[in-house]
Amino acid sequence: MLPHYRRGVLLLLVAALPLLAGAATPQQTLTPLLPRPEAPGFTLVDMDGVTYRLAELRGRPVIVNFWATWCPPCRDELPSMQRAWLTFRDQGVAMVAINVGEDEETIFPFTANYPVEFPLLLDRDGTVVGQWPVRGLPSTFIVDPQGRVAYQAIGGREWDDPELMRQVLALREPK
Amino acid sequence: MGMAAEVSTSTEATSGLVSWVWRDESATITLNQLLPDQVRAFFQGRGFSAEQSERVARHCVFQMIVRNEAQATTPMDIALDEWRVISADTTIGIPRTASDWDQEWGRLSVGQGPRIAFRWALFPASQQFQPGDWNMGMLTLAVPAGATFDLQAVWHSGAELQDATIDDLRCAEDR
Repeated sequence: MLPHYRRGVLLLLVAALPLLAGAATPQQTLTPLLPRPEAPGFTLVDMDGVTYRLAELRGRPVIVNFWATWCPPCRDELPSMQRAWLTFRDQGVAMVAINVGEDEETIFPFTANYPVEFPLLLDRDGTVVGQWPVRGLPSTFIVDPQGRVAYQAIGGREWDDPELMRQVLALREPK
Repeated sequence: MGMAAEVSTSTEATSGLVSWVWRDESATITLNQLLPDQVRAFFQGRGFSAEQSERVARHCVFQMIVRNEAQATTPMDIALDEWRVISADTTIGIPRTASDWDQEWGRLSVGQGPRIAFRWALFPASQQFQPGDWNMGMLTLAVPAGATFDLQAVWHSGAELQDATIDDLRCAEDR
């Protein structure tokens, strides 16, 4: 077992991994999926026990993000997701972030440093992430108002980028 | 004429850890050394026992970032079982994959939570990157601490097979 003081230093080093990563500047691309597949859906609760179903968000574009607290690029993109949420939540866009494999006791203190107002949903046993085409974290899918996956983004993005969000907002128009 | 491939290295001032970045006009591959103690701390923090995390720490572990930099629509397909660890012109191994590790965790009756974290912390065994996509994850190699070797990375860009060899990669010392 590592001594406590040494563990503390090491945890700081682990926390500094994004700095080591260096080159991880997000590129602002969304990959369109053609034809658009039906989104796998989910029924998950947030940290307050409130149940969210993807099917209930039909009729508007939904940003579905998969993340974990220990994932540096996931942490990096959360503030831009929050900014995008504040800007676009009243413009008919929904956003949820599905945490993979962690519990309330881990996520709640994390949100003190990464405060967000959009729903953080719990996929504690990894069932939902296994139903989506996720290979790594973070991965984000844009579901169109008809419940189909219109775009995907593998790796972090700056979600408050107007050009990126323009593609999301355009999904509100009937096709 | 495309940009010639280049490899650059840098040393993080505080930790002394070394990073290698291979890049050309189509892709960037970054490998950041991780200390065995960082690996122990990370996995003990995810619920692994000291003995279980030691099994990972005895490997050479890098934090790897792969990014598709192509401007066209060509996807980049990676399968880690095509990668080679080379020493003295001889292949001495391939990266260990999450499914390989998961069999070991199953034999050791590791709990579901740690196994989920492990699966998502590792770089995926196979993944497709569209232009602008990127991913970060741990690359585990059965090479001892402090050892030096070459890594041949391979990927498919459409029908074209591409490769990058990073010479003289060095595992972090166990300090």
